[in-house]
Amino acid sequence: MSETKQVELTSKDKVSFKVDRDVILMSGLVKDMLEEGDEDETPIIPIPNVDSKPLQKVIEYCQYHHKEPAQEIEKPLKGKIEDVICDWDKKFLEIDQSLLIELIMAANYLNIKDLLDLTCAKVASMIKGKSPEQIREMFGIENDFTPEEEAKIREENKWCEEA
Amino acid sequence: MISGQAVETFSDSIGVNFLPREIVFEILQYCNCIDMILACSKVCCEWREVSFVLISDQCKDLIKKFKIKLLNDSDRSNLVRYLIRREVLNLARKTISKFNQNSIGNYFENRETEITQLKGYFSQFTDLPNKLENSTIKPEKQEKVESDSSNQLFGAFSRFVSSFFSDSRIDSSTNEIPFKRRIVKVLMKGALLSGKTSFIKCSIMKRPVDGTIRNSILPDFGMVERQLDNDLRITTQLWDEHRYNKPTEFSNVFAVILTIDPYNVITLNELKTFIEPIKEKLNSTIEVILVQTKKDLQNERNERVRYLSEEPFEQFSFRNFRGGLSHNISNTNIEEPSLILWYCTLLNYLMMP
Repeated sequence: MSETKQVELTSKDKVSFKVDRDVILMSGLVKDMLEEGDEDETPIIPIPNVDSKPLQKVIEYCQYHHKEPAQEIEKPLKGKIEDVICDWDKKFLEIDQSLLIELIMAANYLNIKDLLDLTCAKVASMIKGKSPEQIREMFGIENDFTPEEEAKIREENKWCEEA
Repeated sequence: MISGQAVETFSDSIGVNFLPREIVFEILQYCNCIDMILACSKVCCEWREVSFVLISDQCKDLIKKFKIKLLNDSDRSNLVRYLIRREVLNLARKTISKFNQNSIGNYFENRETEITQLKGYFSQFTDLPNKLENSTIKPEKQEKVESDSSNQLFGAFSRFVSSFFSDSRIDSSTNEIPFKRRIVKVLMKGALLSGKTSFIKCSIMKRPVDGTIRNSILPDFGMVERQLDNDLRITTQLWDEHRYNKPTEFSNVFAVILTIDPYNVITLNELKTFIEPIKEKLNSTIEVILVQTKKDLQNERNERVRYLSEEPFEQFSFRNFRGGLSHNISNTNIEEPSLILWYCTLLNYLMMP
């Protein structure tokens, strides 16, 4: 019986993770890189843009979902994200906000569509019902409207009068 | 899906205005148009651009139907108000059975998320407190909530009139839990035989019309009382302007239900001419709900010809009543007018801070 082929991923902060090749093939980026390499070796793939903490979460996600494909999430979300994802994903998303953003960036870089969809949908559900100020605060976004634009925008949210 | 070419260090970038446009696009695809118009498009220039692209796509059918120009502030405001009203109507539809059955009860069981979300939307409008001044809120004491006997036409009317002459505080021996009372005044407007009285009878007294056409002789008034929260009781009153036509009729009015018999409106110009004298009396704080009645004529009896389809009414309402909804109902069916009445009550309830 042949051993499962493995791949070694090295994070930005130089932490190595050995992971089954079948598992990490969920990443489009890694898949492309492996196709170019020698299949007999255990390749070492540097992931210079992802820290060990989000990388570990990415691997955790791939280990579960390479056998249990994620269901597509409706766009736009009609209710809470918790209503449309599996229990495992709910638990997986119990993370702090900065790690969630890091995961989005990692999923985008590693080209893992299902993980990108899941994390982006989670962020969208967090945005739901928030004011622009709260969203800016949430993401540390700078308000770059000119004072004139800002004054005009402030006038937009009127129920009774025409804006 | 964007291939990973980013070279920035992610952890350093968090919290310092770094979310690539592609990621913003990915995230906002999961947001609905209401969130995008009310909030996302007002975060920063990039979010505004991305939001407008996505709104154009998500609302393409409505944009086409109502000839909306998204860059036009007024059009965009009408669109968001229309979408929010539609959400409230959907919530009303989901909870209508409880409204029809209960005077007290948990109307919003398992709907807390929707309620919170809708209240969140309304809280983002800067001019709503003025609107709420139209509602009367009285701190009172809990009374035994009456059954639907209070919904009888004359019973309700006499009870309402007598409330002006009696102490509004209730006998404290019944219950000591304090609550607030809000009166939501809704005015019925429309031509003779457009279905105003039938609407009141059907929605409040649960007495659907039998198809016989009669002119109203007696005063038309009805009200229904519902306890929505532990501490809030809303009385929705329906007034028929035909009998209460006086200079003050629009004072403290929350909504006007404008009934139109679409079988008597043949052209769009006729519709405009019909509504024009009423329109000038309506200030922008009043909700106007356009209701086409007598749907049963088309569905069942097929007696008369309808010249204008529903769409011109929808477009008219959207343009003239700030993203207003238009409904097509029959007063032979209790659910349809009741839904509109419940929608009025819910709309008022959700606007409360």
